[in-house]
Amino acid sequence: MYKKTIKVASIIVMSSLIYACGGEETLTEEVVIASEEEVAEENVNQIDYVLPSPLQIAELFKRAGLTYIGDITNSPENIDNYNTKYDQKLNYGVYSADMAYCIMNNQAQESINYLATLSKLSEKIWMTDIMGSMGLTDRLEANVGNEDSLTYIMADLQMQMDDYLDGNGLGHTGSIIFAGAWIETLYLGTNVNENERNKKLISRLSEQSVVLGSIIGSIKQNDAENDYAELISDLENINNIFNSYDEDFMLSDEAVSNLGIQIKALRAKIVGA
Amino acid sequence: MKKVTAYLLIVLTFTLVSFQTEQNCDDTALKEELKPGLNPDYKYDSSKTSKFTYNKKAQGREIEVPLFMGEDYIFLFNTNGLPKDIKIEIYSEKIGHKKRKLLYNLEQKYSQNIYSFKPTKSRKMYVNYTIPEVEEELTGCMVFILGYQ
Repeated sequence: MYKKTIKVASIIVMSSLIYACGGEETLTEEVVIASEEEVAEENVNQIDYVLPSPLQIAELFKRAGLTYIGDITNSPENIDNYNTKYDQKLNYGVYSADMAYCIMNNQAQESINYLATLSKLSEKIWMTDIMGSMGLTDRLEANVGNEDSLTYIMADLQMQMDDYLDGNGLGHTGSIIFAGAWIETLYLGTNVNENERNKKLISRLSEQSVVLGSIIGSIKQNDAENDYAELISDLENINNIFNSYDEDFMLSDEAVSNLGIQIKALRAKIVGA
Repeated sequence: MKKVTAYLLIVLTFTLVSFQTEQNCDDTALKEELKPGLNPDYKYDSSKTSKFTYNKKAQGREIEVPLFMGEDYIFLFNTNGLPKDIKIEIYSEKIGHKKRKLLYNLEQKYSQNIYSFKPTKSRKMYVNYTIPEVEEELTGCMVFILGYQ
């Protein structure tokens, strides 16, 4: 009886210790003691990345002169072509960017269509709870034409999505979704600039190297299985274009044109166009 | 019998302590506490929850935060999930860069958990956490939200 009690107690102790240690942090076994001053540069043992929301980038581009061109966004009908989690996550990002683009340009019905598309796609990547719980369709319809309110609604959606992904250990999914959104936003930006050259838009396009490095870092960090090697390689090729800045950190017209070509090719691969 | 009782009491203590240290990090609640800090001028952009295990060696964690030129941002931090204070700094360049400059050093105050920082000039920034060494292992977390105008 005593031996059985001790055995059970030992299991409880071990369980408690394992629970206390959590799933995310690795215990170190070293007993070296260091002062805080000695730590600063030598012992940063993890770099994390924060990625801007597709909405923020859409608003930046809008203020820089991104106008609406009909029919260049990804057709909602293509959703049925996305059968792998890889394609679904990337195109969730693509459609998010398209919805932001429509909202920024007061395309009410298009915005609602994209919301419906996102709801459908979110079921496939297990994010149904977010879309359902927020009553987004009603909120969007109630605020048609009110860009300010609509952007706050989208910011709320972003917050809910981040909470959901973090809470369910799906932070890596967020990086892929964002990559899709970023590629789509650059596709829209380079397209509009091709129609009518815009220095402010070129400035914002040039600045995107700030984000691209973080996207690549974030995807690499979560890609132990090498599932995203091709995407990383494509993004790194695009990143090389940003090495040709002039002294004002602006891309030349040739570099912007090259960026447009590469983005278009990568986007076509993602949306299946 | 006395030995078994004592053993069980130790086990119970360990269990209670382990559950208590883990309860420090309810990141959803910690983010909720931060959100009013965005109002009325800022919209939510992104967030990062950093979970730590304090141990006998001091540790560092760095978060790369891309910001766009000419835009206005607010960094919000919630330290309520920390069982022991950590050092929170914001730098202009990533760790190891020769021209890395300290832009902000969060001075934690007793009974205050929410802190904010508004950069005067927007550029890529690096939030750096230094987690001190401790004798008894602890777990906790730090929540950071970025807002933009």
